[in-house]
Amino acid sequence: MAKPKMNGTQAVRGTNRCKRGTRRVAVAVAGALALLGASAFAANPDADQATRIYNRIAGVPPPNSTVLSNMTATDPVSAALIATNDPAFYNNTIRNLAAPWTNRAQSVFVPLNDYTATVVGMVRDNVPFNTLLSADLVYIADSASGAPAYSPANNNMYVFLDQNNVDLSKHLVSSTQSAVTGIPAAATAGVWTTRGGASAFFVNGTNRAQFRFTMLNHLCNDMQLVMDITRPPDRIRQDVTRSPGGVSTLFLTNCIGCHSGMDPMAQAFAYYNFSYNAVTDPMDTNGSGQLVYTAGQVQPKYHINNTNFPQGFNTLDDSWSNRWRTGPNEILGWSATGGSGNGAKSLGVELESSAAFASCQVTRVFKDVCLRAPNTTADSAQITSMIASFQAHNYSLRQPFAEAAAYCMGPL
Amino acid sequence: MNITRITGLLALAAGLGLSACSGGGAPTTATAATAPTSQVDAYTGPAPATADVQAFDINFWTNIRGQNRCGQCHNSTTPAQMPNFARSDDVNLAYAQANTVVNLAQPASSLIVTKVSGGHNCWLADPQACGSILTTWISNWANATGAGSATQVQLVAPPIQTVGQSLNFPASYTEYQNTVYTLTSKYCVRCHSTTASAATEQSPYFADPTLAIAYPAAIPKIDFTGCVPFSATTCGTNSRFYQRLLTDNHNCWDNCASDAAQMLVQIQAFAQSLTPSSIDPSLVVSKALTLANGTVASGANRYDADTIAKYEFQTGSGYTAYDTSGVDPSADLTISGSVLWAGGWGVQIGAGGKLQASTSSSAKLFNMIEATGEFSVEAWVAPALVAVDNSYMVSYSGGDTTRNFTLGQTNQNYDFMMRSSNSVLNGTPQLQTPTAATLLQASLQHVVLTYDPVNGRQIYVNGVNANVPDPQKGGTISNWDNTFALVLGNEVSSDRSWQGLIKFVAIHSRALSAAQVLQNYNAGVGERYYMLFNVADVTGVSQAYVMFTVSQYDSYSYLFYQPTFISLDPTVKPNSIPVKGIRIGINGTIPQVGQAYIPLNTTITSAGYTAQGEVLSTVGTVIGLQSGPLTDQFFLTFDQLGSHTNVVVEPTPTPPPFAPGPTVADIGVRTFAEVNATLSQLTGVPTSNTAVNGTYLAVQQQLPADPTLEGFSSSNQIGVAQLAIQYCNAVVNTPSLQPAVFGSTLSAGVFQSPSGVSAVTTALANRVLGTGLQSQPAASTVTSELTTLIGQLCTDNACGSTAGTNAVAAAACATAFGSADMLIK
Repeated sequence: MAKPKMNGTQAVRGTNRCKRGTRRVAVAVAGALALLGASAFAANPDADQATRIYNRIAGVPPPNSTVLSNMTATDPVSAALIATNDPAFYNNTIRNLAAPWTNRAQSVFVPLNDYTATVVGMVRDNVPFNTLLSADLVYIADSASGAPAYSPANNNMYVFLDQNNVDLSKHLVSSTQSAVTGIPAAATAGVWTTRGGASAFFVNGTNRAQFRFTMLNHLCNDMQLVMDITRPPDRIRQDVTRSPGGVSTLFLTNCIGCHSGMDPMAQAFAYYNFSYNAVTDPMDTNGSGQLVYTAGQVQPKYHINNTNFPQGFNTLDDSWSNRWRTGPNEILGWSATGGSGNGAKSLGVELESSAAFASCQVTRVFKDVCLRAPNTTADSAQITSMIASFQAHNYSLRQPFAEAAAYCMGPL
Repeated sequence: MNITRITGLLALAAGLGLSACSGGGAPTTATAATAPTSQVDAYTGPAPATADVQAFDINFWTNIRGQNRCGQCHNSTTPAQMPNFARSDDVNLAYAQANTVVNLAQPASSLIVTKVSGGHNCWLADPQACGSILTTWISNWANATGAGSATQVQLVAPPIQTVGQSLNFPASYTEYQNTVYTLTSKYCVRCHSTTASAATEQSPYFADPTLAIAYPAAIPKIDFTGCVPFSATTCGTNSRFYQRLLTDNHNCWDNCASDAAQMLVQIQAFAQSLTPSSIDPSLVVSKALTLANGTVASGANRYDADTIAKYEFQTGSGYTAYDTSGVDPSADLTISGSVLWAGGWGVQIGAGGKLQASTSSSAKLFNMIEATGEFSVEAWVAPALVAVDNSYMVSYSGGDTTRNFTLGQTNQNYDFMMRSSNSVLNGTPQLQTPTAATLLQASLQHVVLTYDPVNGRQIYVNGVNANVPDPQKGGTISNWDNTFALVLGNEVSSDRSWQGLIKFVAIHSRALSAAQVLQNYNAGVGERYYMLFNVADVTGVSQAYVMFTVSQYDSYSYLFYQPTFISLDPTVKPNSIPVKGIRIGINGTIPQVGQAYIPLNTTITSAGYTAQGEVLSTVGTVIGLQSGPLTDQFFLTFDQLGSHTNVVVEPTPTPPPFAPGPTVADIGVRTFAEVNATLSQLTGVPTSNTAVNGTYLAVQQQLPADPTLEGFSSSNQIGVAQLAIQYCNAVVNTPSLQPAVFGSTLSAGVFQSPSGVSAVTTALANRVLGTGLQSQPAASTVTSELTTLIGQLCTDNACGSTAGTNAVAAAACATAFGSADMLIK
């Protein structure tokens, strides 16, 4: 059932009975309308601005006056970067930013896993975020945390970290998937091939989910936003009926729009599956499954229901092709190289190198920090600026957090 | 599929066409669309001379030599119309004549089939149904002698038509009405009309008073060849309307030459009223084709030896779906409710629709199946829904509680109910495909039910046995009821509606073997054509074509697949011909959707080229239907073919401009984990505290998940309060934490003095508000509220006691820390 909503003023009144709070909202809204130029960042933040910056970054107030003083003694972006040192930034802000990416329900209320932890570690260590979908990388708990060893067949390490409120800013260490999971390095593809990513999107089905949720989570374009019925349908698999219920118009006006672009790219996942014991654990509720990679052998899931349209595409390998480099989706901003390849890693590079990927990360950070989507031309300009800065700072995600917090720190 | 070339095929094709259309048989003065008037007389002539003659006798001749069929004219007595393949005096002579009108390798292409399908003296109301029945008989003849098993498709060179130089028939019949119809409606209406008397009624009904009937029937009789550019000497002269008067002297109303001239004038007027389509002259294009210009590729290789009822749904109009099994009596189906004829042969059944045979004609199923004790039900279906139950596709039953057999659907499972000595009279327990397998898909599927006493019931989907064990195995079907009716798309009681497309149904009096099921699955359904797009001019290769296999896929599209480069000149060995970017054009335009061959990039080489041509791609695609299969004209364009190139460059899209959104508050609330962390920071109680963590986990999803003010609700606040109380309880129970929160360690009676109250409220306010922040409320407003609260609580509590003091302190703490002063960020 939908929650009854209050407007901003009601919410403030209801919580502290403070009339000044009402005024504060009005001031804040007015402040949002004020256009902050780049020069505004030149001045050091005052205590109120520094406090807001800290709150927006870490989700908690500055822990002490020393931290606050340090922040007010420097420029807003630098002040915000100070806030990114708070453990809550990793345990709460980044973790809860990434958690919905790791499940189909997009719930934030899910256990920590290696996908989320890897995102946390990448942010903490300023690992270029544009390797998110291709790196041979996974963040695991250090020995000091007391967590059980990493296992590709369960999530116990991360459940321990979760249940014991372990400080992720201190107890995560970088490792490689190829070292801890046994998957060949060439077959690793960032968060896609983490256990968390595989259990959510390589399980059952046809592996299209991995692509669709990547578009949603990391290019900020769900399928209905990128569907393009003018792309060639030659790579649409045999399981997609061209005449649902005897009405091919449905295919020609709907299905083809997504599948013509998605299927040639999701072919990159042809050798992956998330395997679990369907007899003892039919729904994988025990969480005992693990990622399987079969080099050179297409997973059977790519051939299910292949009589739905026998004249459709029969997957024989993991070669992929990006049909959206032309047509309306050219605006996603593809890199100069790429466009086709074999396997998930090169597809990951294709997607994470796009302008849409960078824009998506920055826009999401803006929304997370400023508590609203960009809604003015000034906001739009700020996004453009942040994208350029994100790229200039080697895709360190802390940078857009800092710049967004500075932009939304409120008026002096 | 074997493909052979025909050298000089054009001449042969023209010859066949002339023969098929020239009325070389009996004058088409009256149709025999009446009930049979007599049965076949006993044969007293010489015995069949060979096994093939005997197969001809059993499978074909016996069926057609009756007075109610071909034997009425093509006999040995009167009128002894040649070829007299239906003569009853000598089966061997009849056989010799029959060989001039049948094609055992391609039964559907037999002259007798095309002739009757075209309207020549069909004994049913639908010539197509007669053609199908004849095809069945010829196929049975061919299969009996093995001629059908080595089917070879003979590719026929199509006429050369340049794209854009032929006119397309408009969807509206207005132009026809104003031109040709002025003659046909006047001079042809007494025969070629549904309103003609039974004695003279003759299809096609191009003169029907209802133009929606007349116009589609007239289209095949009009040919616009030579009309663009217009030539008075050639335009329309290939039209059947013109030729029939001029050459055949067919029922002229005055003088045949002048009548033909009048008709030609009207055809040319029709042509000149239309606007020719044009295409970009820079395109690299093939010649153009219609479906009818293709070589028919279907109609053979089915196993139908034991078929006792068959429905191919080729009629396309009316309320009868004919049983084309050729096994009398015909169990024709009467259509009722929400049922539409589907393009490419089939019926689209909506909610409540059904097709039902009479109980008397359905009784042949009972009679023939009881005789064998086994049967099969075969269907090509495309379910429209995948979340249904009590939904029947094919049923031979008497109502929803009594049946002989039923093919039904439960969600994504096929159901098989059958009455036997091991079942109840309603045919249950049903056999069902495994739920987990989800074998039923909302796509065109071939499903076969078989039963025999040894193997019991079996369900095959797309040629594969679902392998569901049958508990009824070993029973008998002697308890079937011969008063039931065959019904499609529903139950006879109309309360088991099924929705979807049915393209084919057959009942067999034997259990098909797995190989026979697979054979029929591989034979496919519907009519397929090999369409040969001429590219000889572009490639410079003699008789070069890009050949597609094409069929009408459903009412809305065509299926194109397996493009193949082939030359009909067997001496040619093409080499080094690049082929890139094929697009399928239709009626002078190139559809944006479904162009599967744009990425094609290959080269024809002598090494890859065989007698069967060189396959360019194995995938298929569907292209949207426009005017319909009678008139849609197709062509191909190429980015590159041989030395000719015209690469299509797509325009660069423009990003949409930024769209400002509504103004919203730029402050918000802490979300669940932030609330927890903030309360931990304010109180000094670690989040791992057992009591606190327990409460947090309990209220976690009640706390705000959305930081916007607009998303904040009262239930969020309740959760915040609960967590704040737990944190403050922990502080009250942990003296070491109290100074940071309350200013000092709590002591009994602290709230009994104003200074004590002030010290606690001031400490709480400073803690939650921070220091020196203009954006927070004034500390005095907080302390004032807390002072009032403490006063009220102490009125009802023993604030002099430790317990009372702690309780009030916890309440004050929770009030301060659970407020918006903490929550807003």
